[in-house]
Amino acid sequence: MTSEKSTILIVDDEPRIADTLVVIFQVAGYSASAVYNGTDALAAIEASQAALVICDVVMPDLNGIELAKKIRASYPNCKVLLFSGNADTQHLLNTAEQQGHAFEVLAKPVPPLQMLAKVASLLHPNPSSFPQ
Amino acid sequence: MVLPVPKSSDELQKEIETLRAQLAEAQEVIRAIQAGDVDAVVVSGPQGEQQIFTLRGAEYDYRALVEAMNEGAATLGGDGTVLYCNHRLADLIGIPLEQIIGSHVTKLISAEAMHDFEAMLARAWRGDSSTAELEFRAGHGKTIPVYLSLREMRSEDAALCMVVTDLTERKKVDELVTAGKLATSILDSAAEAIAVCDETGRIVRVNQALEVLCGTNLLFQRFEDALPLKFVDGSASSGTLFSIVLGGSTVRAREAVVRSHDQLIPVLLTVAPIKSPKGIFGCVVTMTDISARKRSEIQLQKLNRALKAQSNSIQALLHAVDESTYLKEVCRVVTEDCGHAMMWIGFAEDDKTVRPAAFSGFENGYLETLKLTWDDSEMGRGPTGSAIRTGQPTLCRNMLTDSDFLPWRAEAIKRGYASSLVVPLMEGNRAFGAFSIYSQEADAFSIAEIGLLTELAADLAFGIQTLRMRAAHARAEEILRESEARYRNLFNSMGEGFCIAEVLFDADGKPDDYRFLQVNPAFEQQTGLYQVVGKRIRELIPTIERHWFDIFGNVALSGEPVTFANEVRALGRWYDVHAYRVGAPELRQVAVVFNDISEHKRAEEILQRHAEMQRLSFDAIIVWRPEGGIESWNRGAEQLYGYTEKEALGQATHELLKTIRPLALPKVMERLHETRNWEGELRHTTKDGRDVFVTSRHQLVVGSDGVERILETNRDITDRKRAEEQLFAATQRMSALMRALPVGVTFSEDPTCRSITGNPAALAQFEVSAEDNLSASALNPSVAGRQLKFFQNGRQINDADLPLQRAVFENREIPPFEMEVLLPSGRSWIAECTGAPVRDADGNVVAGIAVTADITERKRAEMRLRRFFETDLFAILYWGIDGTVIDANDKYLEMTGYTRADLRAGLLNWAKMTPPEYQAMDDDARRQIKATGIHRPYEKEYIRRDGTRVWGLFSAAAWEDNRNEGVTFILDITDRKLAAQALLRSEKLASVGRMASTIAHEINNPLETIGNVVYLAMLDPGLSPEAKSYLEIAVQELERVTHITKQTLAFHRETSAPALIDLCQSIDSTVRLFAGRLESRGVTIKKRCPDVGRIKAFGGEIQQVIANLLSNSMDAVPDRGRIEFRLSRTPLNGRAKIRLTIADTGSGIAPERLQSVFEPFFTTKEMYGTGLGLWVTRQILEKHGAKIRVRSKVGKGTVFSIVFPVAEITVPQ
Repeated sequence: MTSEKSTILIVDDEPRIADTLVVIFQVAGYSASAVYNGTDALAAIEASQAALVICDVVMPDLNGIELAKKIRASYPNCKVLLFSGNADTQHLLNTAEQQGHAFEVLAKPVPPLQMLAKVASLLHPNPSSFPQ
Repeated sequence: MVLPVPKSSDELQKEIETLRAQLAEAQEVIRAIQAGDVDAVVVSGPQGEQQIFTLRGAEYDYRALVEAMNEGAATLGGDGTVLYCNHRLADLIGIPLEQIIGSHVTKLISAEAMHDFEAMLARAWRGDSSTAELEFRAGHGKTIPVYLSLREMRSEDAALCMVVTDLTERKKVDELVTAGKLATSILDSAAEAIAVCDETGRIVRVNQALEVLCGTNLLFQRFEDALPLKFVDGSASSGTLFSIVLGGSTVRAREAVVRSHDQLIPVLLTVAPIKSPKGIFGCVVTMTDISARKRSEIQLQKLNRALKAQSNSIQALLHAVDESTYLKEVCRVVTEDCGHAMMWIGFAEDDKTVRPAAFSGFENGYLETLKLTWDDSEMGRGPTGSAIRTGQPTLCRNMLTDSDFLPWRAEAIKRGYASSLVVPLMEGNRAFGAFSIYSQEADAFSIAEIGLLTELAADLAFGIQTLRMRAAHARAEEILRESEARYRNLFNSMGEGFCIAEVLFDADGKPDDYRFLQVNPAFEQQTGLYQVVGKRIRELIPTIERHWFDIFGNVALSGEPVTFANEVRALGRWYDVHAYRVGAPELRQVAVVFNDISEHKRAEEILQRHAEMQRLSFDAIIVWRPEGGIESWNRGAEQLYGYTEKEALGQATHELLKTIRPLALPKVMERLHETRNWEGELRHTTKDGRDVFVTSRHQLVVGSDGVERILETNRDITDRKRAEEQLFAATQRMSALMRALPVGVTFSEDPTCRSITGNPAALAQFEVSAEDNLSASALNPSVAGRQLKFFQNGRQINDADLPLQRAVFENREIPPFEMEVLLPSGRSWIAECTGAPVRDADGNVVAGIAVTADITERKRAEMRLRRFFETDLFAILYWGIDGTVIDANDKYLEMTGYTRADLRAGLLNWAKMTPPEYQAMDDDARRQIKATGIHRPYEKEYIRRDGTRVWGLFSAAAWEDNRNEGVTFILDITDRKLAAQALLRSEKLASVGRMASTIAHEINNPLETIGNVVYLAMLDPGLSPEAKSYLEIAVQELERVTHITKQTLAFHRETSAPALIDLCQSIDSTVRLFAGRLESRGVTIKKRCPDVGRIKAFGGEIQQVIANLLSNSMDAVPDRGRIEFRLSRTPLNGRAKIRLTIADTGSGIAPERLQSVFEPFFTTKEMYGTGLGLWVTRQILEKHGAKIRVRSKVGKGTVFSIVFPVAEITVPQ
């Protein structure tokens, strides 16, 4: 593919989720890769210059919200999309929001088509340039 | 009215039809002529000949036709003018032809028909022919009914043809027919039997009533054969009747008898001739059947007789002197007035026979033969026996046929009896006899007569009872008279005086006189008073002693008889008296029986004096000379002083007896010289050295020898003196006792309690002085006692009901009696008072004493205790250790759901109210009670009366003197328990929620993976359509699972927004929920809560955190342990935080376990911990951004510390 391809980084402590999403995005024409914890994610963003990080919320050591805050701080151009299988996530988000960090979160399981549509709208606000 | 019938209605009908047909034919002819369809007509002329008219163009022929018509005819011009009219019409209406032609047609029409005619005209002008029946105005002011036909004439302009048929004759016929029908219907509907006969006497018409009366085949018979009749007075018969009537006379309303079907029927007969102008051609016979009337007349006569009998029998009662005369008289009046053969009256005897008591009429030994009984036997089943047995009248309609009458039939027939009626004589529901009436006719008694005779039986029964009562009354009067005579005899002959007196009272209600109403002859002998009746005693004896009317007054008021002896000094007599109340109490009359006992009294007095004399002989009598000593020394002196006469003689008395006298001897001598007498008390010493007291009388006697001698008479009063001294000492002691007694002692020295005084304590109690009369029964209303008021249970007590008065009046001890005393000062106090009578040696009450203790304080304390009992906070139970509920307050009853009536009925048992699972706790409590008298408070449940349960905190103490009984205080903690349970439930719910949240996470992640994988699989271009369809199913199913997890596993969020929470309040409200448990365990809660600001949180969850920690601490601390809450502000990482610590003095947690306490399912409480409490606590706190830490030391206690971020800091003051 071309260098115009947007690079997407998937962060989830469940490798199967991260890996399958990578394939889905690749099939959809994106450049995508996966890491399985928050700490690795920061390094990977640096390396891949990711345009978008899709990130699980409930993870050991660095959770998704903390990671997102760090990304915001260090890579303002990198977009962050959270997804979570835990209802408690809402509470974490509320706390973050109270601290001035608003994030969008999708509830797992996210149907792949919905995920693609969401990603497309984040990366290509102009629908005409939707990649094939 | 009867008319001959000229034509039948059929014939008339045919005639009318013919007329109509002719008219129609005529109209048709005219129509045909007008239409030109007919050239010629054949007309039947009035004379019957036929004429042929040719019409066409023949003015004359046409006119001739019209003239020849039997109907009237006319033509009308356009304005209604009659252009032409035939003679027939002119004849018909009786107006000359010339006057009709040229006049307006409406002049011919009657006013009533004008409206219809004008309508016909209008229709005819429109071309519609019309016909109608109406009336023409004819000459001489008559009207003629006609049949009118109007039709437009086509052949001439503006002309109408009018044909008029005279209906006068037909109308007449109609009227006749109607009249005939009317006559027939009158005949048939008449109630009277009617026959119409022709002049030969043959019946030509009959109506239905006659057929009913005399049969159907009467027509065309001769009346005298078919209905032979004769007048009751014999003046005429059928045969002669006709000659009278055909002669023109009418026979009216005569009673006759007509024979029909071999029956004689009484009738009222009227025969009237039928007249016509041609003469008499028949007659009408009217007969009214009067047999029913005849029957009721006979009935009435009989009833009148029965009625007369009834009235006469009542008369007989009024005049009767004895029963048998009365019965005989009744029998006589019934047989005579009713015309019956015989009547007899019999009484039902106890041996079931019927005893004839009276009869009248033709009897001829019949009653002898009867041998009647009234039991259910052959001889008892006849009319009389049945009537008595059943209480119902019995009728024997026919003795010949009545089988029940068989035993008496022969004798009855012999005497010509044919039927009988028996009516029972009732007393209440029982027949005590019956009367039987015999008649010579069969079936002689009508219902009405039976009714009257039954009434007569009631009168007779009443009469007999009355007579018997009268006799009994007379006997009673006789006995009364005898008893009265005996009484009178006694009254007159009795030796005792007897009187009846009316006691008179003064304005104050005190008895002050009495009046004699009746006295017996002995009264005069006994009193010496004569003609006293009607006089007052004070009139007779003005100086009569008060006690007489006091005592009689008391008898008259109280009704209690008295027996006493007393004196009438004015009469110089003593009486033994017995008095008692007679008559109604308000009459205030007493009967007094008395006996003069003056003689006895006198004898007594003499005896008394004699006894005194005897006593005198025991006196010491000494004669001494002032110089020379004792000259005489009697036996009494020897006995008193112990010196013999020999020893005493010559001695100076005062030396011998060591006399101590109140007055020096020279003074005594002085007095003796003045008055020759001296009296006084002396003290002497006897030979054996005893002191004796004497009353001494000195008498100076100067003898004939001029020597002065002293006669000294000494009476020993040592015993009396000693007694006096003892009495004095006793009185002194008593007085001191009275003064010192802390209770009030009141006493009355009279048996009427009119005067009462008391010891200082009593005087103080009643706020009176020693001079005051304390008696509430005092006669004088102004005395202090009368100003006092006494109450018991809020009701004022009469003076007679006070303990002292009752003790005296009832002559018995009065047990403690509580009452409230209201003093004139307005002060009131509660007294407990006992009373006792004081009796003399004979046991008669002479005085009374009462002890009055002021128990106001005690009562107040009791009342306070009672108020305490009425407390609404605690249920209070007075128990027996076996479960008995001795008493309980309302709160207890409310708590247990029982009523006070249940309590009184003994339905309550606290042990049975306690559910079995608390048995062990109760047993333990019992052990503690036995050991220490109290038990530690504990919580348990009660099963209420309705089966529901209540929670209580129980605390009990046994009585000091009896550990099997005591009091329990119970605090109803049901609400708290329920709240705690609710809290526990919410805690469990929260754990479940948290678990759900964890599970959701675990499910959602795999679902994500599956979704992704399936998506990818579907992207495979080499996928067979079949595989693709499977994958599509997988996608759909995935969607379903996703939906389910999102719906069910994300539910536990607290929906409301977090709020600002004051932790101090949260602690308070949580601790309140645990108050019961804390109290029962004796656990102390200490709280240090300065104002540290507020946190933002979900209040319920924070409370759950505190509750979980408090609950853990309580489980850890021992009884009487301590739990402390502390709030403080602490800077942490440079931000203000609030720290909450909960410290307990519990058992502590071992270090190796401390790390795990926040893990789920960790518990130290194997039996009842969920292991989720602290886990949930931490979950909640983490959610709130708070941190929890724990420190603990085994054996010392545990401290949990929570740090909350501060949401709002209260500005320090």
